[in-house]
Amino acid sequence: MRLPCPCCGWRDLREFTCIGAADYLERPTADAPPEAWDAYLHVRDNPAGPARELWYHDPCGTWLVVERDTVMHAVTGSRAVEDAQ
Amino acid sequence: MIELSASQPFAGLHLPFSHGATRLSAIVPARMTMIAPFPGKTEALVKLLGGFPAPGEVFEPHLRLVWAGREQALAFGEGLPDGLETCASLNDQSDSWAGAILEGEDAKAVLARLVAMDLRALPAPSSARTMLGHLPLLLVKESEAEFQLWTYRSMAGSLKNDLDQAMRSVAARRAVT
Ligand SMILES: [Zn+2]
Repeated sequence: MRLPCPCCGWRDLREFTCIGAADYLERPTADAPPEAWDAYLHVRDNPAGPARELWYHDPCGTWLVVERDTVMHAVTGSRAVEDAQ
Repeated sequence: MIELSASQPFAGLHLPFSHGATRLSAIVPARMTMIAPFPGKTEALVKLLGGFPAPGEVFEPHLRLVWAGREQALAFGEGLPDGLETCASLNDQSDSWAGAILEGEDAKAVLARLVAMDLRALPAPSSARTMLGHLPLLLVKESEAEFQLWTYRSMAGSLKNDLDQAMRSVAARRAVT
């Protein structure tokens, strides 16, 4: 599998670390109810199909949101977190 | 009193050496400064430095600047402009890197065994952050037959060993074809 880094272009999977669902980027506010924090920390969808994930390109240090299909393995997009927010 | 003496990153590793059409030699360390612009200060920085490399860029407005990561560049040599510290984080990394030059007509074939990138497609000069085997790598393509390979100094021995083996393998393959 190869992934596009917004800095470096297409690179081999071994250069990346997958952090998990891109939900990690939507951090609740400090005064959010416990249910919101519970969901943020522990509750994830397990999609068969299109997914948004948080990845890190180790060599260049870019955090990226990758859109890919967990069934087809097709990678349909990626953006630096800095630009995606 | 203890006398401290500087040692080279590849000391004791028997560089330079050649196998077949490829040669590996050590780069004598010089001043290397990592420059990371502060948010919103890139314009002022560009004025002082004469430019700042975009991803993959290598150029020499005054000092040689090599793109070295997201919003980071390495400056090679002495003489950073005054006031630069107001627009960027400056980090002297002269002692942190081990750099070697791999050259020869088979240099790309050697690197193809270790680096998961198509190095034929890179312009020269240009830089890339990637990996050499398991090692973090800052690669600078100088020409189609010359590459600078920089890794962290503690990994100099592994860099040499990985390249030594790949160079031997490519030379052996050449000898039978
Ligand atoms: Zn990258």
